[in-house]
Amino acid sequence: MNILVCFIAAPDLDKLIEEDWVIDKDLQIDTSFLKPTLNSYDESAIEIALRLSDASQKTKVSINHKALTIASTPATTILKTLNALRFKQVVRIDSQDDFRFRPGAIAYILSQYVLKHATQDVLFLGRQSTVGENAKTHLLVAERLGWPCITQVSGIEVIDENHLVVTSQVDDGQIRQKIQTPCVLCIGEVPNTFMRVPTIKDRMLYGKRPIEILSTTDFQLPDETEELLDLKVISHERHGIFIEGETPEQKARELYKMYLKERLEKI
Amino acid sequence: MIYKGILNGCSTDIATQAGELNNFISDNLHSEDTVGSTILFYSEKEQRDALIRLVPTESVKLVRITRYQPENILKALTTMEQGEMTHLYLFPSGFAGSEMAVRLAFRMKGSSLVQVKQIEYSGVQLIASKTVYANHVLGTFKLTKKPYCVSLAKGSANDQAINTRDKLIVTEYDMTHLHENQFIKASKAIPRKQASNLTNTRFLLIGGNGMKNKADTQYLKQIADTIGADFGVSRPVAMSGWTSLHRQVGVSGSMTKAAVCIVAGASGAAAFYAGIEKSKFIVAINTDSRAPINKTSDVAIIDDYKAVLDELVKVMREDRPI
Amino acid sequence: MPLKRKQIVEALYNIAGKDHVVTDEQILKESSVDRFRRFEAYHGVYSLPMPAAVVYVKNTHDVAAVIKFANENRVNVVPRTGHSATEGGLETALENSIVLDGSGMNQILAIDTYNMQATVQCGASLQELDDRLREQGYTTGHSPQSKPLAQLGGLVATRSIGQFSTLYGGIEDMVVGLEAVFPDGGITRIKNVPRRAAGPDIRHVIIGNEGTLCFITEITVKIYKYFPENNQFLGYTLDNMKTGFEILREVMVNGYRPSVARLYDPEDGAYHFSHFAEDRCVLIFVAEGVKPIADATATAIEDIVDRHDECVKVDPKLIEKWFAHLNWDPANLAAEKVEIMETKNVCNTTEISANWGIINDIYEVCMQRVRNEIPDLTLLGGHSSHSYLNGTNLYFVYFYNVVDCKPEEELTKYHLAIKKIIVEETIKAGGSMCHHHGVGKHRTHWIQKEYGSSYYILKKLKSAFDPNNIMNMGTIIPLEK
Ligand SMILES: Cc1cc2nc3c(=O)[nH]c(=O)nc-3n(C[C@H](O)[C@H](O)[C@H](O)COP(=O)(O)OP(=O)(O)OC[C@H]3O[C@@H](n4cnc5c(N)ncnc54)[C@H](O)[C@@H]3O)c2cc1C
Ligand SMILES: Cc1cc2nc3c(=O)[nH]c(=O)nc-3n(C[C@H](O)[C@H](O)[C@H](O)COP(=O)(O)OP(=O)(O)OC[C@H]3O[C@@H](n4cnc5c(N)ncnc54)[C@H](O)[C@@H]3O)c2cc1C
Repeated sequence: MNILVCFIAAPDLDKLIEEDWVIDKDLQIDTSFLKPTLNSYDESAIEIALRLSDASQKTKVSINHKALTIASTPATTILKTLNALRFKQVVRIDSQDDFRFRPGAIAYILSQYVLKHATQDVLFLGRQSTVGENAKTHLLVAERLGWPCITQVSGIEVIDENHLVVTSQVDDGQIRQKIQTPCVLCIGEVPNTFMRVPTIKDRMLYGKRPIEILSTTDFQLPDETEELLDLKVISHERHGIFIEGETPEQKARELYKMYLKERLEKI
Repeated sequence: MIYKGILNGCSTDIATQAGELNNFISDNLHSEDTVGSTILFYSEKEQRDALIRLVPTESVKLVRITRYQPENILKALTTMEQGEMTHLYLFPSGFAGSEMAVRLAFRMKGSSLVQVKQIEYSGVQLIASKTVYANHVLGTFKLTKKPYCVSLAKGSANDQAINTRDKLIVTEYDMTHLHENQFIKASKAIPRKQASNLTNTRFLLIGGNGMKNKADTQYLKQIADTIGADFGVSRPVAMSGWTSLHRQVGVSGSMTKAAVCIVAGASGAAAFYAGIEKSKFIVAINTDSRAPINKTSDVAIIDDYKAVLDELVKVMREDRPI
Repeated sequence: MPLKRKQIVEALYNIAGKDHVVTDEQILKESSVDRFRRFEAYHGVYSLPMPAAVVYVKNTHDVAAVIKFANENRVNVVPRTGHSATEGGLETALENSIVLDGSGMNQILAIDTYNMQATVQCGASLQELDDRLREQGYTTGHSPQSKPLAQLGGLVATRSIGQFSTLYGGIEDMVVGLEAVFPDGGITRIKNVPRRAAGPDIRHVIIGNEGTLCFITEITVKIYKYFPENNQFLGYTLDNMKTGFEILREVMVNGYRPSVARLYDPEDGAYHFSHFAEDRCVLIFVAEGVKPIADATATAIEDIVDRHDECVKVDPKLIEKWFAHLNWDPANLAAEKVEIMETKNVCNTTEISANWGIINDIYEVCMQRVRNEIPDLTLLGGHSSHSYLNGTNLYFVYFYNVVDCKPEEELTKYHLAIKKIIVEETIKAGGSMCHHHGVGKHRTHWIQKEYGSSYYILKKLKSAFDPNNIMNMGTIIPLEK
């Protein structure tokens, strides 16, 4: 089974401090000083693909997993890590465009890639990127390819060459479905799927395999139907009064007397 | 402008969906020349009347289906809406809503945006805003092609009662003949054991990563039970499997609006904070005086969360039976 | 007859008050270890003897009373403040130890900007002290990565060092005077004078004692004027560590005093700087102080680096921002724990120092041996972060996947095996096995080799000041079996 995991490396925004949140006239926020990382959806997608590959001996279905990113920054360290984790192939589609808010363009490129290489059975995508929060890419890829799509996937089992059992979250619970490939699977919140760390040995042995690099100039991008007009930093500040006291008990007492008692009585 | 709200009456969260829509309509779509209606998908006959009472517009199309399967709903919607002059489709904030908004827009050659907080229509384009950069930044977007399909931001439902309309115009459609999409060979729904009760909780206690393990997470849950609070967690806690996912608070979990919200051992990342920002009163308990949560709370205690909460239980007990 | 646990607890109740004595089982477990055994602790495995109690002292008198009691009854005392120790210094090596916790003695007693010194209690947090000073335009100049966690007592007791040490020095260059309690219960104060030639500098009996000779209750440190607006940041990428050491040396021997002078190898560098240095070493400088000095220092360093063709300059903003995000706070610790539990990928470190003439050889042989001899490594790298006129330090950083072993076997299989290689190679070459984390309890096997004939002085100090062997036994000097 051919699995293509699509991911994007982005700065960990939790690392930015207050003074870093500056929006310039081109609606950019400088995060160049943070090293790119994977968000948890992409990490889960990658780890799940690796686990399916680990399980292939048992399932007797061989897994051919490829990882692909469209990125302006090389993020070579991450690509090498994926190589070392023994993805069969790692692809970067190079682009200098600002794709933060262009899920349509990303989806177009991904679908073109899939059509051209016509060998993929399943696409994994994380739910959304941290920066754009677009949450559209997987859906648009599915539409472009005319493939079905399952969102908020939390578990995948391989049944045979063309069938998977997929568990996903829906608005009032979960659903387990046996499905036929091809399909697009959008990975949501999946507990206990931190991405594993490759050993130095594996990095020496496999990490340096060549990364396939394509360019977006190879693709004729469609016009966007949504366009960014403005960005504004949101402030969440409140009073932030510190409750002083010698002991936890004093603090708890003050908290209850001064702030909680009356409020809780009204509930 | 003509808009349509789309509701999934097959899901048990239908009341929340309707509440979101109702609220969004009254905040954003009040100008004279807007005309709205609702399309409501449902499957259980017995629920028909109860569902109708939730509809936030004066007219509703009731569509009966066997199961809310996205591929089928899309097919139904595109067939029904072919040739209609609808400018705007509104979907609730859930997983299904965002999925439909994007895919419907694609199929109808329109534009889409998910998790929208606010809109403004100029006649030629729709201006919509939503959070980006993990809830740190508000982005404003221009949607250029009709129809505009948007899903609403999570947590936008308020307690505002839905105006029950007597003169509701109901049109019925039967689409039970729509077959399951071919790619699904078998399926089994696993309903949530208890409906997520965090969205409407009045008193919430949240534990973060500062709880070091599963045992401490259970311990905090007990404290929540003792003081009569609902129990929520930050993402790392849910992702480590210390508690079930439905307790997660934040952009990827529940969006709450408690009267009192106590946050113990969470740093207050923006993606988390979004889930509690509608709280009336926020208390932070954190060992780190420089954790961002302190500034975004009404009051903060710098101490070990366990020590403080143990004492709080005692103080509350002195005051009244709990 | 050693005292029973109950008797010890009773006595502590009488001295410090019941409210200040903790015997909760979980707290005792957590108090039997420090970060050295965090992998075991995360798994809920605690293999060391349990302390009898943790006593949270409020003042020097309580400290004296507790220590006197322990001395008279031969009970082991483990001093503690910030609980951020990394080398087992806080491990309770003996049954029924008393953990003497000074974190509640956290007052900043005086900030004297005329005489340029600040006096604090042992539990004062360095972060709070430095924040307070900075508000007034001053700084301690001390900035270990554990600044948000560590407290002054522990920082002095471990001979800690901070990121700006090349200008301000280690803690030993900052401490002016001290108050400490020795095992007989006696309280000693060393006065705060600029310098004196009145016999040996007895401050050094206290600084770095790791809780094995006395309990530090009060500290006076120098303070410096703080001019962050003049800071100049410089960053370069380069091919070889050897070139990097050469540049560091040139900067130092020519008398320049940048506050920061750091050199990362490609592996360690990738961990921090993958966004601008791919497979390259990274060299970083910060020049600070009054403007003419900061500017002159930066210009001179640029000249020195420019003479080495392999160095490529990077945008200074990258370096400036990196520093702003470097320190570890409690959120980092919480996040680290989750990651370790999930991925079984553990990070540990060993820091050594050596003269210029041998530092690169030590670096190379250690890297080679560890890489060849230790399994399951996922990262092995190192950096130099503190340079001196005659040499520099090396901070080895290693990550490994814990594979096929119980939590309690992790240390022997990986961390200690790696430490052994680094320590032995360093001592063999003539360097020091401990640069700034202290000896703790796991480098004690080599302490005699580290000291050579001067071990006599160390032993004598211990037997003179702690004749009953009650102070943090097993630390610095190995337990006699
Ligand atoms: C796209 C995206 C979506 C996300 N969605 C969510 C979401 O829905 N919900 C969510 O929570 N996160 C979400 N996150 C993750 C979020 O950015 C943070 O990483 C997360 O909220 C951090 O959780 P935390 O505060 O519990 O942990 P940490 O940041 O690790 O903080 C732990 C805190 O506990 C304190 N502490 C430690 N010990 C104690 C003690 N004994 N007593 C008191 N305090 C103590 C520490 O000082 C620290 O402040 C999302 C991230 C992304 C990228
Ligand atoms: C993330 C991290 C980063 C670190 N970075 C640095 C760094 O950059 N530079 C550096 O030098 N160290 C660093 N350390 C090591 C550690 O922070 C230091 O050793 C620090 O000095 C310990 O201070 P503490 O208050 O936490 O002491 P503790 O951990 O409480 O104790 C440390 C040692 O000192 C003894 N001790 C504590 N208080 C007293 C007292 N009042 N009297 C006598 N003995 C006492 C203890 O018995 C123990 O042996 C780091 C540690 C961590 C976890």
